[in-house]
Amino acid sequence: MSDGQRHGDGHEHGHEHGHDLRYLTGGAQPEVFAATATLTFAAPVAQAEVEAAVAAFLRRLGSALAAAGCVLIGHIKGVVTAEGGDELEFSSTRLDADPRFGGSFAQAARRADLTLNVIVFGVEAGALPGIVTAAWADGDPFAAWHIPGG
Amino acid sequence: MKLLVVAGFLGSGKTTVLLDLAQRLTGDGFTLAIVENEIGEVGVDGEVVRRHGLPVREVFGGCICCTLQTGLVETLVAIEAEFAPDYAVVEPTGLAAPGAVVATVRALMPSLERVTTLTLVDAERWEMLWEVVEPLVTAQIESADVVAVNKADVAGEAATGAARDAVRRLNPAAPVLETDAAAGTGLADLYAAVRA
Repeated sequence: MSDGQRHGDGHEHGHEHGHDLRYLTGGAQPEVFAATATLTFAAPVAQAEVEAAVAAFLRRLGSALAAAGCVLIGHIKGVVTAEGGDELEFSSTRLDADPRFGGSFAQAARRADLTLNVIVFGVEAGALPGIVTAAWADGDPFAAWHIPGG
Repeated sequence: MKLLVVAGFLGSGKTTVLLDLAQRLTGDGFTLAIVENEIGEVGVDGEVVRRHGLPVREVFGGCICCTLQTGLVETLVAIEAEFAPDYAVVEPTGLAAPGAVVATVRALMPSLERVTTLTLVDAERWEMLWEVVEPLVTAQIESADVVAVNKADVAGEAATGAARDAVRRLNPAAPVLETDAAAGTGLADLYAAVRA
């Protein structure tokens, strides 16, 4: 980790993933997925349908992460912004419970933008984007992802 | 300008607590600006804070305790010059060691009236976090001026007690409060503690 920065408290960060935490995390590396997606629905969807879709996505993602060796969910969070500006946010730190939702859709939407952050530990470096987008595609194959730097 | 750093591991409730503290500060007549740091290239928390009508600047794509230290200081200097708010409230990524953030800001911004670090501890996941990321959680607790053991209501007494005892052992000087930010429990006392 010659390209890292060593701090006064002895922990060292490198740039392999922007934040190398082998000292602070006992060797478990965080893997990060941060991206946006444009969601286009065949028919207008209400808040309850979006919440159900997100919850189903997280269940699929949880199964895939467990199969990929994930030892800890750091945080999975996102915002779904409807075409009219309404926002629905979600947050999850465990895969055996439904996510926590905030915000609301006042009316059904035919199109929305999703911003998604996933940080997990124990997954092979570089594998997370494929795991996340595959888990989403199983429920909505029409999402168009934009992954910065991807 | 005073600086309040709201630290803690990923998913510990930082944004929820930050929103509550910000609303209490503005309700008491203080002006503030919020800085959100996300390790990914696109962020969620800034959108959430903005939806609550609060002024926010975002620092993306790394951590302000290491790769983005300069970006944080530049952002805070700009905020002080442009708005001179009573408080700047910073939410680092949950992978940050806040001691490194505070040391840098103190060194480069001697004009700050006061720097307070609030660290949130996730009581619900305490045992798992201690097992997997003990050094990081330890660093976050040790550098705190105030600690909130959050999600206490859902974690139950045993898990909350274990987290509380560990916090007191790691940082005997810091006040330790129990909160459940999602339910709004304990937040008035937390507000008083970070302003004391």
